[in-house]
Amino acid sequence: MSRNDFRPPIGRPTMGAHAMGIGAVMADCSYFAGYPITPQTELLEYVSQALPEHGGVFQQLGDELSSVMAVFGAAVAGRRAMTATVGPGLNLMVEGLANAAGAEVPLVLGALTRAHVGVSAGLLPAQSDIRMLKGGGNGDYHLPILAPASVTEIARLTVEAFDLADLYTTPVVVAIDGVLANLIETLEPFEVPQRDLPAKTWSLENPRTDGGRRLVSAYRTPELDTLITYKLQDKYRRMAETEVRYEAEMMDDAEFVVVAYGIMARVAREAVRRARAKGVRAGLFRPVSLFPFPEDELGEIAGRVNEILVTEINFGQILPDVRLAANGRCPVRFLGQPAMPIPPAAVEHALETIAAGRSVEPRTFRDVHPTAWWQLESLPEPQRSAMEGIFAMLGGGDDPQRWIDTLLGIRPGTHGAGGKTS
Amino acid sequence: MSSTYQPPVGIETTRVGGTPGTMTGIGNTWCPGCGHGTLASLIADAIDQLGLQDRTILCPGVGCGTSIISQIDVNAVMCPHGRASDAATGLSRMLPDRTVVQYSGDGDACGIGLAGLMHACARGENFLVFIYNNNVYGMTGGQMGPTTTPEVPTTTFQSGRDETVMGHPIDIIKTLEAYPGVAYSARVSLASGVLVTKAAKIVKKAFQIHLDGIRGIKIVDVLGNCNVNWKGGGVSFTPQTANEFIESTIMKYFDVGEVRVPEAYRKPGKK
Repeated sequence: MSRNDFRPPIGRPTMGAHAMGIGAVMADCSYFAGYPITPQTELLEYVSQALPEHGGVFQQLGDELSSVMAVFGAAVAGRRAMTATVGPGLNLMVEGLANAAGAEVPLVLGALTRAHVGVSAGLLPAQSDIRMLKGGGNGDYHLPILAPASVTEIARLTVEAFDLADLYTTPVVVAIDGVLANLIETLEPFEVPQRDLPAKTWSLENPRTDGGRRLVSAYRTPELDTLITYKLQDKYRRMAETEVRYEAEMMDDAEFVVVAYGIMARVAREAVRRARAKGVRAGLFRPVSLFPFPEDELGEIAGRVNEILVTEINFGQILPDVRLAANGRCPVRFLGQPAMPIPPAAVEHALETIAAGRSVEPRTFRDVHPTAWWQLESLPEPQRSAMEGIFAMLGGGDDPQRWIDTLLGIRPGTHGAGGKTS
Repeated sequence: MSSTYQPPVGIETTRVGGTPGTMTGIGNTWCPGCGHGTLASLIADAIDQLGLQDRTILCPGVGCGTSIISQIDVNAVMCPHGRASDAATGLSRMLPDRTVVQYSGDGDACGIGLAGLMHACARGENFLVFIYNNNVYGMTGGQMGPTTTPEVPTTTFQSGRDETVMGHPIDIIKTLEAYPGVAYSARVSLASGVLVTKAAKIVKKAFQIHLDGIRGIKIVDVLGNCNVNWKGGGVSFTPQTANEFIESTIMKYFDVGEVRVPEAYRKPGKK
């Protein structure tokens, strides 16, 4: 299973971030450079020990930009190399990723995403970086994005990401959110398909032959630059033909389909089960590759179901892909919030709502942070009044306890002694 | 291929031991009188003399200097602007038996890429760095840069660096004196034949120290002209007057000579 003497800790409780490191070591990654950022640090700490033990080099560099470029350098040496980061670090890495895509250099990026725009201090898990990962840099490039939904799948898809990168000479992203990064599950046995990988004839490790090897992402002539862009598009077409991955569950008689990936796919699975118990014919479609997106498969489904419900921990970053796939064949609804997984009860409620012919109620600030009102009570004046004003402005003046009960699935009147009302 | 090499017509070039065999002989795109060609020849000459053509990997950053990729016949990777130190880090870590060479301009190394370069020096990475320091952003037409000295005319500060707004130029060699990870550092000038001959020795010495297995950054800051784009405020130069300007003015701010030399390579009685 491993590409070296490393034995993954099968059967043992394993953290998602560690599973990504396990995948990297199994794939015989030779170089990892990174800069610490929550929640990627567990991965950084893991590979800092595991990689050197198996012949690799681990370096902590000055910033994310240096990290991705050093990984680029290691990759042009013909070695397998990886880095990982989170939203604010991704902002810095976009330059290196776009350049590696244009120069056609294989590397793997672990994206362990959290909430917010720009510098984020809350550190709450979210799926907020998917849109920028799809190609946040300049020019017409795409990055293959794999979105695992379990710890075992994180390890497996990380190994596969290295193969994909080598096969298509491109950076490949393994994207998980903060929940999966810190989730601890038993690492199940898994198999990675053996692929025929092309020899790295472009690598600078090769001896200089006639004319030598020059790895460039831009040429002195504009015609050659244009030609490269065409070549890239051809590569993306080939990927769309052969590298689409998805899972469809309970789809045979489904009338209402939830589209979700990563941790939200697991939440949605539970919601679909509950909705089915109540008589709603629900199904689950989980894109595993967010690029290439399972457009044809989802389009076919859109032609035979009543409605599609997209649910993400963001404000709709794969929603445009789903809408394009559905192409007007059925209505596409959306349920999202900026941070933390949406509870199964809320997804179930949304399914019941659309099954009853009504539109989905948007998730408000109060839905996401029901406990904010509890914390308010401990604040001294005048901060308390100021915060109350802000919350009231953002979330309306509803009874927070009712929202908490709804979100946590608690029946009224069953609170313990600690139960509070506002 | 070297036999097909022709120097630009009408321009006197300083030859150091003939045209190096490591040069591709492809006509270069540098402006007449530019020192990039001289520096490329010096590097190619050192590679020739030390037999390093098959083990050298060149990492040019972005700027006029990027064209060196077509001038020197060695394996090379073009790096984004300011990222050559980082790419050279990954490359040299993975291929420790190769001679990895960063080739940057002053804007590339001391402006946008300063953090990467300083961290590489702090970590004591094992590669060579050559900076073609012409005091301006030449490729974009002569804007002020991090190393611009006060008298150099630029298109963004036309009467030279305004020290009340833009402070003082970065002396990269002095800056890097603080780092034990720098094995060898020196500044040379291409302003005259005598200075080019001295520069040739120092460029070769940097390669020799690397070849002898002394770990660390070997960095040479090379003062050269930008006779075409030192044009701010309507000033104009010829290659000749530009080189004289380096000697008379720029070298007042930037000392030429070796700064960090490994012990075994010092002349007796010198530190």
